[in-house]
Amino acid sequence: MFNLENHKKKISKNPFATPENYFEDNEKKALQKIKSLPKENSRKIFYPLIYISGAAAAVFILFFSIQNTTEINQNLNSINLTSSDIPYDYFDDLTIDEVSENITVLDSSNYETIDYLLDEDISLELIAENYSL
Amino acid sequence: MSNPTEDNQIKAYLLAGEDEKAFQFLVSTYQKKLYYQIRRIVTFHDDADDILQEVLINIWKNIKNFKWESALNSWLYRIATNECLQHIRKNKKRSNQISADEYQNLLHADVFFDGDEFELKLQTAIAQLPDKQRIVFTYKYFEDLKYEEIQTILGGSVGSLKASYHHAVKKIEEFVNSN
Repeated sequence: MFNLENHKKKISKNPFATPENYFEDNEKKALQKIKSLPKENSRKIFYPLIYISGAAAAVFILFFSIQNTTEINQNLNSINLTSSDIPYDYFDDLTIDEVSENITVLDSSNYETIDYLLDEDISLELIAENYSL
Repeated sequence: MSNPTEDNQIKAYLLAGEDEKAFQFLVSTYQKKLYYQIRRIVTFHDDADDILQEVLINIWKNIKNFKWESALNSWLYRIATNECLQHIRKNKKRSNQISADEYQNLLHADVFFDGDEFELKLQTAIAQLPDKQRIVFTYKYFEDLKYEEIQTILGGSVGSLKASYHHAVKKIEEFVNSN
């Protein structure tokens, strides 16, 4: 009866042959192959560089956009409009809707503006309704 | 299989940034052992040659990620085993898809098989084993690795590796005795 453990002790010859100088040639082949690989590796390094540059540019643009918006808001805040700044003549050709739009933006509780609207025969009810007086 | 002196030399080359020297030294130290282990799993030289090329390229690509916390040989064997399994899955000449007789004829005609009639039977019996049993058997029987070492290569529990080896031995003995 065949027994593997007994056979193990008898193994003396390797049954697997190789072509002549296989291992020497293979070593050279492997070295040649890996020398052609760094190009792929450098490409791998290149992609992260693009990502990092892109991210840096995005942060730069975002930072200056925020800074610019803040400056514009500060400039707008510094403008103090009064009723005297409203060009009454300009209203002459405007409809009630257009006026209300402008007043809402500027100062809807300004009495002089309301006086103007009353002078223009716009009823107090309508003014009250539109400007939450 | 572990070569502490050679492994330290490879590590020293890598730390010095001499990657190519490290690789060359690794290939000259380990390629024969890797080749014969691959050959025991896939039997034919052409298959073993293709797999070895892939294994060496994978080693080159990943050697810098190796942590040196485990033995280098286990890591190399793991790469080789994974490549073998991938190759077996892809290969149309897969051993368990053809009969034992056909396999024996193929092996007999192989110019790079230098075994006698008994070796022919033994290799055919090994080729008929399921993949896991075949791999465990070759590591244990030919490389004389401990189950714990095989575990670091293949994963799983020592108990399941012992069972795989036991089943493999029984199947091979049955095959040889009945043929």
